Amino acid sequence: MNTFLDLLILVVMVLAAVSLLAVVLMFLVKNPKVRRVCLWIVAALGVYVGYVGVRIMWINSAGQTALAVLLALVGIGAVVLERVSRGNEKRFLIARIMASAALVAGMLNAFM
Amino acid sequence: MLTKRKSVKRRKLSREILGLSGIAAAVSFALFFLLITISSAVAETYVFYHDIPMTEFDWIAVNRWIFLVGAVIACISFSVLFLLLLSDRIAYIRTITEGIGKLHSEQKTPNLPLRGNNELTELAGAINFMSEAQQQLREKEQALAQEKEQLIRTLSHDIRTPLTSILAYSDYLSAKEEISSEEQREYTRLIQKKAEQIRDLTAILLDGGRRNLEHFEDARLLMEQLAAEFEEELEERFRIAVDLSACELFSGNFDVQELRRIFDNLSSNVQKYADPAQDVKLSIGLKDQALWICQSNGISRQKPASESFQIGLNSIRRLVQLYGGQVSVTEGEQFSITMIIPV
Repeated sequence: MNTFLDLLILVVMVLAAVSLLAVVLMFLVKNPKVRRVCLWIVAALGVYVGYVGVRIMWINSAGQTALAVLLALVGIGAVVLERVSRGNEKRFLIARIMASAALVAGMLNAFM
Repeated sequence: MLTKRKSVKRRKLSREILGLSGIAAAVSFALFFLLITISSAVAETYVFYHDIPMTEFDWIAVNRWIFLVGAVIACISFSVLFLLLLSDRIAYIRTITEGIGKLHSEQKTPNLPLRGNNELTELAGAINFMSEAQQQLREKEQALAQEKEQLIRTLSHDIRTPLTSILAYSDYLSAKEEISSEEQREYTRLIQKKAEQIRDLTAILLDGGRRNLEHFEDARLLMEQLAAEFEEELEERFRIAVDLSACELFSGNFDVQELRRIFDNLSSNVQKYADPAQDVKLSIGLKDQALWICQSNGISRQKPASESFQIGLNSIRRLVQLYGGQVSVTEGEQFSITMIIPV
């Protein structure tokens, strides 16, 4: 069995697991501090997945590369919105939705 | 007043926990299948782009590896999710436990927050209700103890006045060398009357302050008698001016002992603090359906034998308040007290 393949599968699985867990916790847990931490993790993963997507699609597909860049920018935008949303629950919810969308769409774009 | 506990339909905690575990399980399952899908896609892409020769057994091994890692990650994520979702309820149980500890050790009302809508909420509500009831009981006990102490203090002070009179009369009788039988009879009558008063006051003390209200058709006679006793008590040392002209015929319910205590306290204060050179005035009248008792005297410039703790005046206030009345006191050049008792 190819060791690099095993490691790659492991890394992808851990990445996917952490991403999904962070997204779920961001919406289900009531503690505001935990929610903010999860949003930062999701946004960071969204940006990273966007970068991975750009690296994978760079040669093959311009459209998917552009989408990967856009999704990374959406992840950054989510963090900015979170910073300005102190006390505003509606804005915080929008930030969370943006970060989740960036991450999930980025993963689908990069790996599917 | 205790806050009433409303009966509200509550969710069961077990169902909530089951729900949370269901959510955690659903997310873990979804994660498991997502991981398998993504990993399979990644493995195929990796093998394709790197031209890795793979046999059927290699693919079976890869798939087993994907399945195993996926299952382990799904189990870990289930545990983490479930514990994080449950942490809120665990924190609430901790808050309730701390509140019970505070109630037990510091005897303070914990004021637990009512979160959610399950058995824990009911428990917190019951603890709040119980501690509120305990607090009210403690306050009632304290108030009762204070009232008892006050009653003892007041009655002890009021018993002292007739006792002082008995001692004064006894001293006079023992000091006088020759005394007529009439005088002897008079002083004996006075001593007996004061002794009966002490007996009645002691009975009040033993009975816990129960009142003995009697209806008087002609309460003016009672006022005249009390005014006469007041004058008799003080006429040796003071010039007394009693005015009953405004006291018309009226009826009412009175406890004779209470009224006697009022007048005893007035005469006791006059004896201790009044200036013998000035007149001591007492007027009793009826005005606006109320009995007005006004007493005034000059204030002695000499330092009194004992410091005033206002026990006598406070006793008068409390006794007048029993009739729904009010007392006003002015002190300056002259001391003046006015009691208004509705009839």
